[in-house]
Amino acid sequence: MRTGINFGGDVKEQQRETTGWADDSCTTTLNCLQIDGSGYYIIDDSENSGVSGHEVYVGGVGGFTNEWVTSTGQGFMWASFNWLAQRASGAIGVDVLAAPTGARRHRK
Amino acid sequence: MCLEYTTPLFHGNYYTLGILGYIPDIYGYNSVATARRKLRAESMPISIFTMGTGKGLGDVTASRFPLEMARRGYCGFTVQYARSEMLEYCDGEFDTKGSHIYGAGADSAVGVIEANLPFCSQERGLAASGFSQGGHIALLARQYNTLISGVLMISSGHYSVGGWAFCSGGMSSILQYSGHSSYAPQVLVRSVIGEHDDVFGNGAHAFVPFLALSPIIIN
Repeated sequence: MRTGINFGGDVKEQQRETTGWADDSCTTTLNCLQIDGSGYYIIDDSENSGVSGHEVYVGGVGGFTNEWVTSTGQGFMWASFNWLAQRASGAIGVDVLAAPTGARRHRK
Repeated sequence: MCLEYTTPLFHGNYYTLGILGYIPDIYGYNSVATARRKLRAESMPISIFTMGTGKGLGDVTASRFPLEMARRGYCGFTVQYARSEMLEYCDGEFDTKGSHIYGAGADSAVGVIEANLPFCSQERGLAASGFSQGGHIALLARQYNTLISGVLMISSGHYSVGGWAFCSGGMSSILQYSGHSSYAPQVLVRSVIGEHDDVFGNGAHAFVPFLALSPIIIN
């Protein structure tokens, strides 16, 4: 069992306090993403090969969990960076990726 | 296809040590030198990722996450910042880190990127993302640059009771939503985190306090 540093409170309490989204704004206990994609998403063990600690992306596929690089789930890399790219580009808009990029090499 | 851009040591200021980035190769450029010819009017938005406590540019996040943004049309960068260790993680430090990375000055990381890569423009869009401490930097950075219009935090949280005992108090208040909502409103922020995060959460399914594991001595 890992107990880590823990700055106090459980994960959901900390997400609620940091993001300001109250529980009645959430779809489920773990999914508090809003219609516009803002909010928070808590990744469960069962959807990420049992990985749900601080380095939630770390696994054996190029350093990442298989789900982190291949899943279309809202908590993972593809959906999160698609949201960020669309949200931050505003008026000009940018492309989003139609599918996760998977475990391709990321350095030349 | 994306082009890699690196600066082994970034001299902009003390708090930013290095940059690793990727540039979309959407125009068939085969080198950064060729890409420099692109006019600012056709420029691409900028994405900056900040790593977690104690991590360097060799970390998997430093290369993969900016590359993901480059694949989406951004000039994507990871900025390595100085004083990233745990005891250098308080409110005054955050102010310096945030302003030196995202601030308006020509020697901020954003300023240096724009000066060296004129086809990268924060006015086209500025995305801030980070892991753990880096996520907090991304969250708080908008007070130094309102062009930031999207923030992605990975494994960053906060609880006002009990944490940050090594800081001077300001840290606890600025990381609460009430402390940063005036410049980082909810709609700009997305946070993802593991259910059993052991830094910004209690980690285990059933948290066992340290004292419960201590031996009991009976005289």
